[in-house]
Amino acid sequence: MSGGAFLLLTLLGATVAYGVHAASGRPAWGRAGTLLAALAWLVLTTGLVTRGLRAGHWPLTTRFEFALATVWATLPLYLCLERSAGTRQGGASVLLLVSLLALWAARQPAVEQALRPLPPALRSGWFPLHVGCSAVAYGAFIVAGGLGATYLVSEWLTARGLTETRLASPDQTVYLIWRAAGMGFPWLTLGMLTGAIWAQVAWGRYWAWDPKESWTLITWLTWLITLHGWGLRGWRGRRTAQLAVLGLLVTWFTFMGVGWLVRALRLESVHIF
Amino acid sequence: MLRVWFHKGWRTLSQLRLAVILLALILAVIFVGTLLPQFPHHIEPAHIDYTKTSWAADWWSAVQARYGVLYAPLRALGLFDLFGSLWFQGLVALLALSTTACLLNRLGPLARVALRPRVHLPRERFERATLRAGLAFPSPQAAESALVTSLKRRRYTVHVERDAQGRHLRADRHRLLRLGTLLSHFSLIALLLAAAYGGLTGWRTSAIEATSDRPVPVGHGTGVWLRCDDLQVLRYADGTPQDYRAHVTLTDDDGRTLTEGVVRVNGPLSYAGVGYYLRGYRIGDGGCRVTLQAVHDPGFGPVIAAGLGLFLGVTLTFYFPHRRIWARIGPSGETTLVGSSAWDQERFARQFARLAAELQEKAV
Repeated sequence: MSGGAFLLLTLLGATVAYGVHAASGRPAWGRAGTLLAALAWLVLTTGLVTRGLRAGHWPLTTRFEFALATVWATLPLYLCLERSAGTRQGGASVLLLVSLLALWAARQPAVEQALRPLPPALRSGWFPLHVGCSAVAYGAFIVAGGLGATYLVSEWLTARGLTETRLASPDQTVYLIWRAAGMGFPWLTLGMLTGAIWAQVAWGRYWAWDPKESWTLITWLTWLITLHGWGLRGWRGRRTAQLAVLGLLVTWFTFMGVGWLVRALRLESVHIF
Repeated sequence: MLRVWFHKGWRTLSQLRLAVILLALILAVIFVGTLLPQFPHHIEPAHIDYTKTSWAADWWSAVQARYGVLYAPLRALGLFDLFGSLWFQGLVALLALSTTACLLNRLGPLARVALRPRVHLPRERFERATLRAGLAFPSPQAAESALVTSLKRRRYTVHVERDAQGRHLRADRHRLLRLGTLLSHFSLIALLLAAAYGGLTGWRTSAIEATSDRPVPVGHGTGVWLRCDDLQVLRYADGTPQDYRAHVTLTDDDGRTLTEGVVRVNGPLSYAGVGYYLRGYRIGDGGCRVTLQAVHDPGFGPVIAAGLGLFLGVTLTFYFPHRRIWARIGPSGETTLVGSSAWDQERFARQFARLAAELQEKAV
C-alpha cells in the first residue's frame, strides 16, 4: 500500500471513529479517532519531509502540495484544541473536511503531483513563508468551519427530534469556533504580509488587486467580521456557526475557485497560470 | 447644537455594529470587483504592451465590445476601475475613521486596565462575578501565602494590599498584552494611511526597453539612464528556466556611471529610493534586450511596518488573553476568589476551577 493510500485510509478511519463517538457517546471511539488522526499526521509529516528533501525546496509550490500542507496544519491544530477543550464532538466534521481535502489532492493529475524545479518567480525566501502561513491559517479555518457545521447539524437534528440531546454543547462549540478562528487569523495576516513583501521584491508592487489577492482579502474580512461578531449582542450562537461555515466556503473558494473564476470571466491575474 | 451632533456622530462612528457593516460593505464591493475586469493599472498583465501609447484605449475598446449595452452604465458607476474609484476609497476612509473613533474610545479604559491595575475590587464585583470560590484558611497569612505561591507558580504577577478590612490580592497574566487590541487597530489605520501616502507620492514607469545599444531615460525627474550590459538565462537540467540575470548600468545625464548590478526576478536593483525590476527579456538579435520597470514607493516600508504591528496586535489578542484573579482575605482567613478573562472565559473557567481545588486542599 502506498503512503498516500495509507494516509487516506487513516484519515477516513479517524472520521468514522469520531463519527461513531459523536453518535454513540462512547469514549473509546473518540480515543481511536484521536489516535488515528495523530498517526495520519505522523505519516504526512514523513511524506512531506521526504518530498521536500527530494525536491530540494519546501514542498509548498503546487496546489497539490498546498492541500497536503493544509491537511498537515489542520490535524495538530484540531488535536490541540480537542485536548485543551476536553471534547471530541467536532472531530467527525473536521476530519471529514480534512479527508476530502486529502482525497482532492490524491485525485490531482500526475503532472500536478510530480516534483518540479522552482521557476524563477518562486525562487524567493518569502514564498514558502507566505504559503506556509496561509496553510496554517486555512487549517485553523477548516477547524472553525467544521465546528460551525457540527453546531448547525446538531441543531438541525435536535429540532427534528432525531436526537434526544444535542451532539455538541452549543456554548462550548461556539467558543471553540471563535478560538479556532482567532488561532488562524494572525497566520492569515502574516501570510498576506509576507505575500506582499514577496510581490514587492518580485514585481515592485505589494498589492495589485489581483483576483487571488482580492479573494484573500475577502477571506480575511469574513473572518474579521466573525471575530468582531463576538462582541455583538445576539451573535454568539447560531450566527457565529453560520459565519464560520461561510468563512470556510470563502476560504475554499480562495484556494480552489479563483482559478475557475478568472478563466470563466476572462479576468486578468498573475496568480493563475 | 453642533456639539450634540458631534457627540451623536462620534458615538455612531465608534459603534462596533457600524464597523461590522462597513467591513461587510467593503467585502461586498471587493467581491463585485472580482467579477468584472478591472482597468490594468494595478495588475499589469504580461500580454498588454505598455509601450504602445494606445494600450489604455485598446483595453477600453475590448471591454466595450464584450459588455455591449451594459458598458456605459457599468463604466459610469466606476465598476471597471472599482478599486481606484472615489466611492470605494471613501468607504475605506470611513472604515479608518470608524476604527479611529473606536480606538480613541477604548484607549483610556484599556490603558487603565493594562497599566494601572486595581488591586482593591468593590464588594459588589465579588458578588456579581461568574467565576467565584469561597475558601477558609486558618489565618490571613496562610491564605496570602497559599494564594501567592499558587498564582506565581502559574506565572501570574501578584499584587497585595492590606487595610482595615483585610488583605486584597490581585493577580494578572498577560496584563500588558491587553494592549494588543489597541496595537492592531492603530496599525490598521497606519496601514491605510501609509498605502494612501505611497499612492499619492510614489510613481512607477511603464515598461522600459533597455538595450546594450544605447542608454534609455528613466524619467520622472530622476536624471537616470538605463543600459543593459548582459543577460543570462540559467536553466535546470530539464531545460526549464531557473533564473534570469540582467546586468544593468545606471548612468546620469552626462553618461557617468551611477551604479551597476544584476537585476533578477526576485532581486531588483535599488538606487536612490527607486527599485528597478525585471519584467521581461528578448533574445535573438545578439545584444542584450530586457524590459525593466522603475518603481518609487515611499509607502511600502511604512505599510509593512504597520502590517507587522497588525500581525503582532492580533497575535497578542488571540494567543495571550489577559486573565485576572482577585481575592479578598478576611481577618480570620476566610477568602473569596473571583476571576475573569478578556475573552477566553471557557478555558479560563477550567483553570480557575483547578486553582480553587488546589487552594481548597491547602486550606484544609
